[in-house]
Amino acid sequence: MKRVWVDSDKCLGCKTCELQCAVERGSVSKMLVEAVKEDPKPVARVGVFGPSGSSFPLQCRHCQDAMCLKVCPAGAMQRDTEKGNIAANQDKCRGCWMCVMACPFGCITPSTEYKVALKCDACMHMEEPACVASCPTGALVYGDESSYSKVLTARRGSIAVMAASLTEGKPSGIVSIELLREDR
Amino acid sequence: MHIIIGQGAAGTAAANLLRQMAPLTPVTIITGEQDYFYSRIDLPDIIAGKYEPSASVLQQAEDFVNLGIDCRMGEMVEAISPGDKTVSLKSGKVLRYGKLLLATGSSSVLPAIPGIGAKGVYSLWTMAQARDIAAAAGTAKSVVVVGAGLIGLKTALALAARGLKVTLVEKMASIMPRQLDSEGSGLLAEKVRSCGVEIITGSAMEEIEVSDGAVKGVKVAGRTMPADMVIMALGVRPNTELAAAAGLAVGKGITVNEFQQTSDQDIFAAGDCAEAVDNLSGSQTIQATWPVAVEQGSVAAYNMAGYKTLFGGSVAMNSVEIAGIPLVSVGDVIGQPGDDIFIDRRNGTYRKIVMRGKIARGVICLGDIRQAGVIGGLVLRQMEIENVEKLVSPFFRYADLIAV
Ligand SMILES: Cc1cc2nc3c(=O)[nH]c(=O)nc-3n(C[C@H](O)[C@H](O)[C@H](O)COP(=O)(O)OP(=O)(O)OC[C@H]3O[C@@H](n4cnc5c(N)ncnc54)[C@H](O)[C@@H]3O)c2cc1C
Ligand code: SF4
Ligand code: SF4
Repeated sequence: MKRVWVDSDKCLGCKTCELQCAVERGSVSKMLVEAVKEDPKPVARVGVFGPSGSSFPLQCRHCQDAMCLKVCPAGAMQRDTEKGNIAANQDKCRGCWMCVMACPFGCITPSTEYKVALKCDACMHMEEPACVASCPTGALVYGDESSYSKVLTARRGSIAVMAASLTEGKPSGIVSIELLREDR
Repeated sequence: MHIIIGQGAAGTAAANLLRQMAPLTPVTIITGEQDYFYSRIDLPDIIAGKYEPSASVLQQAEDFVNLGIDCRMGEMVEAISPGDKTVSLKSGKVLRYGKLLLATGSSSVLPAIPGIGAKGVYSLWTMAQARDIAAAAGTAKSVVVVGAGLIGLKTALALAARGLKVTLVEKMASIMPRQLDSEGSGLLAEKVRSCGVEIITGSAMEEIEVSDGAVKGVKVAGRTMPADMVIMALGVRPNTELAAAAGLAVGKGITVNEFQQTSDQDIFAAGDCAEAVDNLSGSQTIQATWPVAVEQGSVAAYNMAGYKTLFGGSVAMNSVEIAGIPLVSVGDVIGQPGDDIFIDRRNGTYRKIVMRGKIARGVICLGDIRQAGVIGGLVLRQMEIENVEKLVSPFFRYADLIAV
């Protein structure tokens, strides 16, 4: 499955990805000059956080054993059968916030105005995710696992965030998500 | 053949997964209800008139057929005999199973008090009950809701939204006593009151006053409140009768091991009817939540299909939006003597983390629930944390965790 991978060494903390995501995926107008005036304010599905010097853009990891998917009681959280990415269907969302409570990465934003869950859908229906396209330093890479290993070998010391999958004989879901700090 | 009793969150998750994991073994799912597989969480909104009942259906009859699941609605299982591996239905039919899953869920607790059987007394667990309440609310004027847990509160607000005069009575000193501390509860109560619900805490209901077989009022702390409708929301108890009668081990709920297997190796149990290990206390509890039901149903299905899978335990957790206030509560939100309490208050939002040494034991996020999953996840996994002050701030993010 294709995901957005992060090379944290390249992240300057400039938040361009956040801005682009909010404009392209969160705003009504899809234009920066208009978007900044919108009320409610457009919400980005990626967030750049962490202390300056080690900032880190984080968006949904599209986990294999996705907690958000399991806990949704409305059938709103769905995995795309072809691409494997997970998206929240806003028509079905009841704003029960189970997914917000369950995502161990804090990648779901509850929209206080519309009472629906907002999350990254990896811009599945676009050529390239908005955040990746906008990053001026190439800290965000879109591709499958192999393209990520390339990033890793190119630059030791990067932090990867991913979720372990459900494997036979191992504890399941509710506690199984391992936070992996790779390559440190 | 695999047989599943109960077509709720646990039973349906198991049936769907069994079709994927063991496509050659037929699956039959039996339920006493008539309304397909629907979300119980929608029921208060259906009462409020926000959605049609059909909007909460997650899987219809044809969806079950398309998945190759033999779905029998409106049939009650009367007995299980583990000796010859059969279940007997009320209709007289007897079905033979290879592996059996008990996903019988729970039922509302109804205390044996005078007047409990009167016309106008309701409880809310099923779609059929929601329909009855919605219909009765069309003519009723005032209602007393007994029990200020999640279901009681949501039902009270739904009826207030329909214009009824609503009084909510709670025996404990505050509302949502299982999920909130007194401060959080106070903040929430204020909002609930502003939606037109009168709240009386610290008082138990004594009796339901009846005239001509119908509810006339409710007696609370010696005072009678007139009401033409009463909603009993005192909590739920697991449906364990079938299991007990079949000689299976039953504690608070049906006893299961980490594979969701009961004391009979071919019978599994999952969801609200089964016990689970609480990761905080290490003791057996029943969490009675949707996510745990789905998870246990899935674990049971893997094991029934022959893939050894463990249920990793759970902690008490719930998320909900009440009177416009989103809230998440995870674990022990009160704490024990010696625990450290971290609190962050700012205009209308409230965040509390209970720490024991370096381990988070409980979290309340009220008003602002962003990142609640990150902090809740720390409680769930009982991981050591440095820098707790940061954790309680609304500006805390997952990135702060890996940066330390
Ligand atoms: C109004 C309301 C709001 C809720 N809100 C939340 C919430 O916000 N968050 C949350 O986590 N949870 C919530 N819950 C609880 C959640 O719905 C339950 O935890 C969940 O439905 C449990 O699923 P289950 O499959 O174990 O049991 P159930 O859903 O109870 O299903 C069991 C089924 O088995 C059937 N059955 C039982 N015995 C027999 C028999 N002998 N023969 C045939 N059929 C039988 C029953 O008829 C029933 O259909 C709420 C519940 C209600 C009612
Ligand atoms: S649990 Fe969080 S990170 Fe994983 S798929 Fe769901 S939203 Fe994305
Ligand atoms: S908030 Fe919406 S998407 Fe999230 S669990 Fe609830 S219904 Fe599903």
